[in-house]
Amino acid sequence: MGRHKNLVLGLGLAAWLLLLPAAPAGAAFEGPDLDGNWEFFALGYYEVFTTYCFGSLTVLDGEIVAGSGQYHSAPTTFRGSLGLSPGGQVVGNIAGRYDGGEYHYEFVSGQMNPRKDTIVGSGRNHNWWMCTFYLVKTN
Amino acid sequence: MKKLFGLLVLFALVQAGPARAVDFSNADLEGRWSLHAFGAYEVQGSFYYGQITLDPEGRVVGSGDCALGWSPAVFDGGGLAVLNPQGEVGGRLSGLSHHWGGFWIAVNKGWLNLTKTQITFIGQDYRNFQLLVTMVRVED
Repeated sequence: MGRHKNLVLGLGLAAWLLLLPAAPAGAAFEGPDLDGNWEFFALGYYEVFTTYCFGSLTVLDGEIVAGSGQYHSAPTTFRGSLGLSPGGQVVGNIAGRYDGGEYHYEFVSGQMNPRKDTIVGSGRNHNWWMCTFYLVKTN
Repeated sequence: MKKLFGLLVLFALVQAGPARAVDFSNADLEGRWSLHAFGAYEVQGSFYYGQITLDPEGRVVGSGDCALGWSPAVFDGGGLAVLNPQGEVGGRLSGLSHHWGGFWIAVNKGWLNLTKTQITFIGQDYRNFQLLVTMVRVED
């Protein structure tokens, strides 16, 4: 009887181990998935002109509460807001000031990945130049 | 009992051990993807974006919220294929833009990531634009 019980327990454990790696990623998205620190990258073109921007930013409750980086060759700070749909679509804008000027980048289409650690997007800058955006979560 | 315990320990070690090789197939392409392409040709830059749906053979079977530049568009043909068990991806996606008419993007070199949730490729479109394309899986 004891041997039979152990066999059942063993088979149960084996079945659990087999199922474990196949568990679904469970990627239902909600606003707090945006909270945290992100590295931001933007690149855009219009004819012979290029716009680019990169840096670190912190999101809390959908607002960019801190951030700094580089807009073209100038140091910049970031502000703005981001939103996330239940399907992982990202909207919003990332703006900033530099050397007496202002700029912003706006998502037209964006998607958070199932692991919730990367956002890829397309959009525009304040001059409607077409841009591509990447955000990589750092914590 | 000792044999059974030994087998279970061995099994657990295999499960928890170093990452196993991931095999890829066309079936890994099935589902909805968010596509973002950006690139340039000479003095022009352009992007494509939108959601496309691929069937288990990698064929485009649907799309939504798509655009070529600022023109609304649909992806309605072509598809991708997994070229080898290592996850290399090839193929061509085609569609129709309201303003620009028919278009296509061909894969020059592309790969699925190990979690099968992202496809990244360098491609070229019908205008000779060189594009960096990222496709992120959209889970339903």
